[in-house]
Amino acid sequence: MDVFAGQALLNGFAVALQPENLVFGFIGVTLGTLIGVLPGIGPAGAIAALLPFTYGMDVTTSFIMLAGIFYGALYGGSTTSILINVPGEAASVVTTLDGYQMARKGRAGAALAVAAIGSWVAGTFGVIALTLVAVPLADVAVRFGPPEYFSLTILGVFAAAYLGGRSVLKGLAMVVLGLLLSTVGIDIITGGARFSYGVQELFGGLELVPVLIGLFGVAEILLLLEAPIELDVLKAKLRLRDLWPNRQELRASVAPIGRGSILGFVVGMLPSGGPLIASFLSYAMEKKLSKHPERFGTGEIEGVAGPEAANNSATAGAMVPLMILGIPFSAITAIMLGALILHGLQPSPLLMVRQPEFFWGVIASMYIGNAICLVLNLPLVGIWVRLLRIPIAKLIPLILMFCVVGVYSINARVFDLWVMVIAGVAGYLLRRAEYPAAPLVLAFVLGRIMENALRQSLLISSGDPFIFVTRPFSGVLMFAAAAVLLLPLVRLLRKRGGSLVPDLESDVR
Amino acid sequence: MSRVDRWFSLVLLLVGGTFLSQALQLPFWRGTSPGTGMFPTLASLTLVVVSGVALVRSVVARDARPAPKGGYWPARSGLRSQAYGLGSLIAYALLLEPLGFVLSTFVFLSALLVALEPAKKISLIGFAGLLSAGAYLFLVVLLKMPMPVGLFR
Repeated sequence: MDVFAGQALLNGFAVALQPENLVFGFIGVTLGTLIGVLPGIGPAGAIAALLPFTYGMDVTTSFIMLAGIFYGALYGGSTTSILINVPGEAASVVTTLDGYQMARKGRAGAALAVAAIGSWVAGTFGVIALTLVAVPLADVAVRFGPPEYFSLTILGVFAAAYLGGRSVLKGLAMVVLGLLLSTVGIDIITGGARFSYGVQELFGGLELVPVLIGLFGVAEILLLLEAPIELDVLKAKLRLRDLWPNRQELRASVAPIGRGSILGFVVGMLPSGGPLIASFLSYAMEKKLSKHPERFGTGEIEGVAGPEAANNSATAGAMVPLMILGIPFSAITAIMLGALILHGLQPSPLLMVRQPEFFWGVIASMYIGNAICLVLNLPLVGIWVRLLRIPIAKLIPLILMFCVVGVYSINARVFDLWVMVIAGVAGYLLRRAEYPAAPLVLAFVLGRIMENALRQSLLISSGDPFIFVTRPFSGVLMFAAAAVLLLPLVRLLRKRGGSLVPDLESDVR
Repeated sequence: MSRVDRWFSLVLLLVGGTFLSQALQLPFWRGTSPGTGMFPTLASLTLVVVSGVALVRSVVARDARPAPKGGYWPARSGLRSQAYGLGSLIAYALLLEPLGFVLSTFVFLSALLVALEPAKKISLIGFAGLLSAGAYLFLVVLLKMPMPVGLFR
């Protein structure tokens, strides 16, 4: 593939700096920061709820905004983790361990500053790394055929089942349920209807957006209504001059930020990697490398710097499989794939050649967006803190209204609202029973890709299933998928000395 | 595994079984290529097996977790709030087309805001009115989103 990344990126900046893209990029990171700050509403639900509002926009503009929400939320999530010991979104949970303790010692400003600076450094590193790997990886991926895509999707869903929650068995059940739901509707190859039960609205399959908004939006609201979060915001006034770590804290932050940036990007690229896993791994690594691991949990700056860097760098890493391979490896990027498909764009290794203004425009916008996030999260942290005082009871009806409007606007059908409500109730009940929703969503989005790849592969091989292991790339991916699935079983057998009690539950965290 | 796990496993088993019974009626193979039934058959079979294993484990497990403190379900106040939220949402869906966007949104926002904070009825209804008007201006007029007109036809 004859693409010079440097020149292409410069062209991308020309796209990202267009006024409309700048404005919506700013809106995206601001919304993302707000969503990250407000506990209970995560970026997945927000991106799903805002998807329909992007229909009228250019696809590049809408994706810039949605990507801004993704990494903006990670900046904002650290604010509540540090100030009130409540993570604004899941990937910031690790920051509560030491960040809140620093705040209790009067070092909230330093913790916030290190989190913001670390996030900016890592986010920028991640985008640079994305720029550098894009062309070589696309060169490899362009040789992928249906067997490789099938194996990749299998690896993705198995990893989601393994890492999705506490129980591999429950994760697997959700994956398979997601795959089944993706088969509802008319089969595009033969034209035959499947599982539609004569309901006309189901002929086109289950719409992605109502399912997503139900599972991540309505279900979250039902969880919030169950037990409203009591926010005890630290009364300490944060002045601008307090927002700076001392020399010792800065020096101690440098290495963790560097390590977190690299670790986060690599983990973000992996199936079901993502910001949450990256932040946990970074914390564990910093604790192991520290001369005083016993101090972790009492307010160590390394416990904030490393994980915050890792979770931001992981967002850029997560974009690699989505933008270059066209395969999302996490629930959030699966939702973003939905956004691309809704705009008629099919991500693939050739995307950077066929739609260079989109591809490089989005990457360039991430450089700009990271800089905007730094400004939003440091000098303006006082505004975010004040927002935490808004009673959640006033926000809930507003959020539900946006969910309804967003879903209805897709097809102007009340049927989609019922799908959203059912998905919301189901999502709430599944969460209560500790069945993870992320593997279900990922499998739902990947299901059609997986089925098409499977059928095409078997067509090519005249029905020989060994095509998936005889082709080198596909064989490696299948081996990795098998390892991911069988790992808990092997660990169990080693623990229990060969007993075959089928306990596939494993505490991942 | 808990009692809740038992029920969920059973539900998933039934779902898997339902999908499997339908999938088996579709062609699994056509000549030299897979049929429309292959993928759903394999997936639903896997769901039946996985949920079956989970169900058996939940029944025979020796180290079943005790019920969480406070029970499996939310407290009464939480259930009430959830009922208001869900009920309002369902009513919103039912009224959206007959009443139109503005009126149905006003009714929904008023009902839910008042239900969640009953002490401030008047101000909340006023707030709901402002929000509905603002939502109309922003979503319908500015963003041109297709919302039903309802009674204002």
